[in-house]
Amino acid sequence: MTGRRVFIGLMVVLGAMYVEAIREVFFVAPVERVMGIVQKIFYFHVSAAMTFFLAFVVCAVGSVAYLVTRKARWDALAAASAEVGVLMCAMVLLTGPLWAWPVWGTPWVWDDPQLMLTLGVFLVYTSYLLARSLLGGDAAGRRLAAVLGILGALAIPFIHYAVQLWGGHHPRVMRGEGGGLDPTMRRVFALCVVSFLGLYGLLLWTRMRLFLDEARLRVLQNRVETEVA
Amino acid sequence: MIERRRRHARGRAWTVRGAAAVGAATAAIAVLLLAAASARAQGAGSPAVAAGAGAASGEAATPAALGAATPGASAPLAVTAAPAAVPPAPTAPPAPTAPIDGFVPAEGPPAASVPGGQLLVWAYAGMWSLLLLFVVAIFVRQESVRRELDRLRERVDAARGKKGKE
Repeated sequence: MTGRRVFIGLMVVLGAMYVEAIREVFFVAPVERVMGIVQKIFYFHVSAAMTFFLAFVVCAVGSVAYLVTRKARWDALAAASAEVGVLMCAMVLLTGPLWAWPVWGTPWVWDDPQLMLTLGVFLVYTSYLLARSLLGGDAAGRRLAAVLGILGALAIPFIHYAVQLWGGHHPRVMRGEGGGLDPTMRRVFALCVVSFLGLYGLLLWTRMRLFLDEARLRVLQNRVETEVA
Repeated sequence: MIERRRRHARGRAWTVRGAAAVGAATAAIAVLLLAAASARAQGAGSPAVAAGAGAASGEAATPAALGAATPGASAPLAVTAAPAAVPPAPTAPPAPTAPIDGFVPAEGPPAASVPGGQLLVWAYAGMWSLLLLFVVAIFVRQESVRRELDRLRERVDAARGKKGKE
């Protein structure tokens, strides 16, 4: 009961933070000199990107822990984090082209390493979720998914440093080079990042508990089937 | 034990309902804010542009600044020039060659801007839609767990009643 109250309380706080973040993005953050108003996509785009980085790393950590201990709790953590990560990555892949379209003149550039790596990681974790879904809840399926979860996370540092390593067109504002951010932009951006990390935490919590409930339900179903029949 | 699990699942269902309600309320407010921003961006110039420019230069947005702001984004690839009196030659959007290192706020009315008001609204609306879909999916699965627990409870109760009669 206390956990539920804490959860609802956190949801309310997070909702208020999101409303404030949107208000600040649209009405407080200054418009960028070259890109104009479309640059405001940056605030949620990069926040979602940072969140999916974290989500996939947590998925990899959970996968390693599951392969070592074979405890369902770690598997649930990995799967829940992968789901939320795929959601965040989908947000990034949706907002990125909308931002790039007027600025680059095209929504997608096929020879940009950062874009292609992000798409690749999205597909790896989509495969992770598909593997779990299609192979059911058996141990082999979970092990295969865990391996995919670890392999996918290896690409995360390369996504972050892709522009430095291989060049490309993607902005590198958040990599400590160049002009960086105006102080007002930085403050609004920080609020967006905190909001997204909070959202990640709440979604992870909810999804993980649901995974565990579903696992318990399967055990219960088997027991009832054998004992009642 | 089943009863306990059923109560547990019901509690979770209420949690998810609460989460969905708060999420929907937040999304509704967000949509309203987006609609307001969109209306202002397409109406008397882009207020966000003007407000941003005013904030950047430390001045309030003037009608001239509002008039000079970028009007919406009907043609995504077109670039609009700001000052109304002497329109400068349109600047092409930066070609995707060199990555951008920093974002600099516009000072005064933006000299050249990439129109993107509609794309901005689409981006934010799309993100919120994805999030809502995810929350609804969780809710549906939670309800499914609850229904299955109810079904199991009925089976166990029926089996107990049968054994009691025997």
